[in-house]
Amino acid sequence: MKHNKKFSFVALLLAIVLLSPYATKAKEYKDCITDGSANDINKHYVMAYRYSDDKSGKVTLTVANGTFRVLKVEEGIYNQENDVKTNFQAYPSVLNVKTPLNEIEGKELTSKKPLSFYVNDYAGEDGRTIRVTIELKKKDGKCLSREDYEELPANQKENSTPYTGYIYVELLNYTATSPKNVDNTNYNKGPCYVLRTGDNSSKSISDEYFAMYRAEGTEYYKKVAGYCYSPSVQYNYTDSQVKSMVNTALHSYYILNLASYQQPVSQDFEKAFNASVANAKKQYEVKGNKTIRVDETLSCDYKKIKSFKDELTEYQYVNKTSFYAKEVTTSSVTYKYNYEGGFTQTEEVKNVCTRTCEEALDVEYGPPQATIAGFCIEYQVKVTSRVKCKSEVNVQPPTPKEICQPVPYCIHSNGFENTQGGPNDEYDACIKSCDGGKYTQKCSKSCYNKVYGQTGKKGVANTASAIIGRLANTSGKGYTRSPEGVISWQGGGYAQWYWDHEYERTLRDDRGAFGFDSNGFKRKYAGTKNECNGICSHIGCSNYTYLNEETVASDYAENIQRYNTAIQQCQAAATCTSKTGVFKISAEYENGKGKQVLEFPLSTKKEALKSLTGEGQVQNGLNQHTTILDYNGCYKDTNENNWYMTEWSFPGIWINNKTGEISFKEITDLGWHNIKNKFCLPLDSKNVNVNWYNWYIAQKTLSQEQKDKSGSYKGDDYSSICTNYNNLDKFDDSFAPDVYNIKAQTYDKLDDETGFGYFGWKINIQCFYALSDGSDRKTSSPDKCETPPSGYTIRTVVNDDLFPSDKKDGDSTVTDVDKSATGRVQGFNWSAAAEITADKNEYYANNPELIIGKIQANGNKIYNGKDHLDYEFYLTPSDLKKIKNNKGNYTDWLGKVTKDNYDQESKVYVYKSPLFRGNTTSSNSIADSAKKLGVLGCNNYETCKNKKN
Amino acid sequence: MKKKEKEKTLPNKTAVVILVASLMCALVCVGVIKILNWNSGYKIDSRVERMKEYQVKHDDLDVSGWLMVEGTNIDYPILKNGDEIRYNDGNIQYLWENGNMDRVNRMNYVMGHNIMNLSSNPLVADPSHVRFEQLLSFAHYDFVKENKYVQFTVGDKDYLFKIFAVTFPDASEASSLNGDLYKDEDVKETIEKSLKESVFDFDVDVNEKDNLITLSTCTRMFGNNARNFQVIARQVRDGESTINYKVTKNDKYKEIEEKMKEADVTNEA
Repeated sequence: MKHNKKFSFVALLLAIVLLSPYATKAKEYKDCITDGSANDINKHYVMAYRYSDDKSGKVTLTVANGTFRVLKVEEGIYNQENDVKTNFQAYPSVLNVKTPLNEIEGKELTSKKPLSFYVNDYAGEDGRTIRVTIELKKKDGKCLSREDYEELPANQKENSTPYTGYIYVELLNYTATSPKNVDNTNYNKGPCYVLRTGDNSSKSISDEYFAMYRAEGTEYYKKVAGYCYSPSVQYNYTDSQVKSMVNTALHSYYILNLASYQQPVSQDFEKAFNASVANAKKQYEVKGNKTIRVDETLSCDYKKIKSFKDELTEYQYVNKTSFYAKEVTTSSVTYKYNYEGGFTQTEEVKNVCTRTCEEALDVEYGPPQATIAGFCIEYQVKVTSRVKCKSEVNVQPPTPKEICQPVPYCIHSNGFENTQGGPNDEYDACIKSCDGGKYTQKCSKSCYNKVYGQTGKKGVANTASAIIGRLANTSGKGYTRSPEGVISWQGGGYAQWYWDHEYERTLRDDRGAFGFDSNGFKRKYAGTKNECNGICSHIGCSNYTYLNEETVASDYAENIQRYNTAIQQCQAAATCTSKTGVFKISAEYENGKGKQVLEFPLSTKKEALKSLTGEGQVQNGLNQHTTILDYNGCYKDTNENNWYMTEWSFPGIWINNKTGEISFKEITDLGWHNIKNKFCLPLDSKNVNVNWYNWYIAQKTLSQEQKDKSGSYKGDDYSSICTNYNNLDKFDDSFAPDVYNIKAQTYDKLDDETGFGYFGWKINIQCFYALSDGSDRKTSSPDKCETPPSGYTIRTVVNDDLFPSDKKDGDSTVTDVDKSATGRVQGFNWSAAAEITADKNEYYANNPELIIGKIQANGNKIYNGKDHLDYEFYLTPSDLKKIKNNKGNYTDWLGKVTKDNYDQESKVYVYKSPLFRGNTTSSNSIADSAKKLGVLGCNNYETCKNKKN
Repeated sequence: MKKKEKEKTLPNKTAVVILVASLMCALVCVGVIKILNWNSGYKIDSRVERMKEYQVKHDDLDVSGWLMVEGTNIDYPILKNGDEIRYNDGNIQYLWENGNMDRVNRMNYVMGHNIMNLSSNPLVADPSHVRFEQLLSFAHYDFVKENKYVQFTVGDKDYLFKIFAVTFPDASEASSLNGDLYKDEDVKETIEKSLKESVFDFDVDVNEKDNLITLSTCTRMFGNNARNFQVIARQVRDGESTINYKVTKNDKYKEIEEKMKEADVTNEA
């Protein structure tokens, strides 16, 4: 029995032993039971926190095991030594916790009942932390709880403390999803406000630009001036940048929505312009070029003569020639990009807009003139041009460039490619060369040994893969680039664009194990374990990329301005030219001394008009003797910037009152008077263009009836003129002028500096006058053809030597008797023999020698004023007619005296002409034209005894 | 005398019978237990202690878990952030995770290297392979049929997972962070994607309430850096058996078979 029992016991034991692997161990509990491994307690309780995703700042504390109670909540910073946080320094007066403390402190925290509270959004970078101290409240068999502690005897309590742990909640800028934004200081004021609302009551935008505002352009404005539509921005533009941006948005939208832009003109302008163009195309068409030159000279048509109406007072332009030119220009803009590190680029955008300018020019000039020596002619030229410009914008404004985000890239000292668990590039290359990339076992082994060695220690490059996204708590911008192109992060804290899902590249810092270096690269805290000591750099951005918003914004503002300038240059209406119009006119004649050419203005003073300043600016001033009669358009006012006009003529001459002597230069003596705008041919001018002259006279003198007649007369050349009058347009070129002796032009030199109008036209005009003394005219003439008077001689004297000697001094043939007060013997009427002494006739005394002396003493001063003027008439054409028609009313030579009150006893017979002194209402009287009539019946005396009473 | 002899033999015989019976009982019990074990499926072979010992031995490393995979030699520590590891002797084989793996999370990710088994026709359970090189065995149907379980040790506890998907996802999909980030909808999304991409259909149900584990490594089956290789499993539920279960090939597996045929048939070791 005992043996049986023993055996049973042994068997039982055996069974137990065999089955023992399936038996459970009994567990023993002690205070803070730990297996001695690192972080054992932490790993048991796993005291942790997390932020909620809704950016509300909600923090939730969690534990994996145990029941805790929150003892204290503090804010401060700590040191980190390896994995241990030490030396926590609390800031007693600061607590970035929104939740009231009494809702946190004293509250329970269990694995099933996490505890939440709210913290402030914190943007500082000093590593502030909220430290939550929690105490193990209930028994859990792992550590000494408060319950355990309370049950201890008093003497054990002294040496014991309930287990407390810390949860360090890092304060974060949890609301940031992008580099910290700032308030847009321009959002609710200034041009931005106007752009968004259309309300310009503040006049933040000029009237000129605001007139271009269009509400329907909002989406476009957002593209060009998107800054104005964001209340929160990364960078604030300056006032001038904002203004420029907004003006460009308004201007470019306005222009881009016009098919083309043309300066508005009046209907009259348009009509005149089109008429000129039509006229030009009939005559000339010049394809536009910047330098306009008219090489050929315009000649007046010798068949076009002025109308013969007497009442005509305005100058007649009978010639008109038009010109047309067009110029097409494009403008370009060069954008500049100034990247960090001093790298720059330029980008030229051509054909930003196209501008087409047209000018239609009318040149009007007068008819040829017929004159005789001593008479004056007038000649005028008038040039008018109209300019139209239009432009089209071809290129939209620039948009801000994107910034490039560098990627942190680290080459580690060892390890395989850890992102995906494969080999490195060197291994792959080895396989490729070994078996073409098939990864056979044979090649795998050989390449493994080659690349990694036996111990697998060889390092490989570690690549950063796709960027997941920007992290919430980046501290802002601050990339720089050195002149060598090395990108650094200077913004403090972690550089941007850290990869989200790999621990070594993330910002997650739950255990406080990670930190960043001065270049923003993530490194673990220095210690003996797991340092990130690889070589890191920022890659992915070439030297010609922007790294920061601020740089982009600055360049964008300047490039917008460049674009706007290019557009404005293109859009500008026709501006007044910078060229100078120089206006000359000349005449030539021939006398005994040869050919004389007079170019006006005579002096070296240039008479020119500068349009750029908007004023008719003649050098040394326009004066009363200028060639320029009138000017307008650009030459007068730069606001009239699309047309030009100048009219010019001869400046005029000075004529001696008595002698008819001509001076082309101003003479201020009273014996001279000025005739404006005319050129007078000196008395010794020779005949010129006589054939035309004769033809012209025929036009003037023949009656219409005679003009209509044809073929009635035969005979000499003159009669043939009469005969063929009605066939004037069929006259051959024998009547064409021989000499074009009147010329006009609008430029000074054949360069770009002078010329008329927008394109600087160089216009040459030639015309002529014809002069004839009738000596070459046939004297015989048919009955029905009238001939002009002929056979008169004009002789003048010099007042201070009325009878100059025809012999030289010392000539003995001249006797003293012959000489008197004169140089030679004068004729009877002027000699002493003609003296009427008082005893002969007291009523009509006369002493010729006395008179000679008086005249010679005064010289030409006699003509000064009217002291010695006896008779003065201003004869009109009608006066001349009356004179011509006056057939009588005066006695014959033997003296039937007139009636009136004259004493016949004096033996002085007075003849009074009713033509000069008759009734002014009489059709035969020209008394109205008599400015002064001499004393009747007297000769050179102020009073006269011959008048009765 | 005989009575005494009888009395003397009787006790001996009984003892022998009892002994033999006990032994047989014990053997039978063991045998039954073993059979029961076999019929009751995969049994956890705890790695809690081994993990602790490993941490003590390699105090310069941060060990966050341990992984075993049925049918393979994958029996390695899981380290945190394997990048910055300094080898002591260069022969450490390890797996790694990214994040905060100190307990089983809703979704757990474990990565491992594959250097030697990258071909289009990977070897199956080659004893010379280390790290996650034997994981590619799951590219073969015959292997998958017999092996379904993943044992994951973390936070001083062993967990068992059932494989429900084998995929070849695009390599650009990043390895994922461990931690308590994920919610049901994240899990659901991952399950749907995995089932859609899986080249096998496993007879196991999985839903968003399950915890998942993904084992990920490299392959060059589709070229360089084109695809990864992943085995995805869900945690065995309370009271659930751990026996083998069915698996079939689906249409997507044809591509894998084609790739395997392309591989060098002389893929000798």
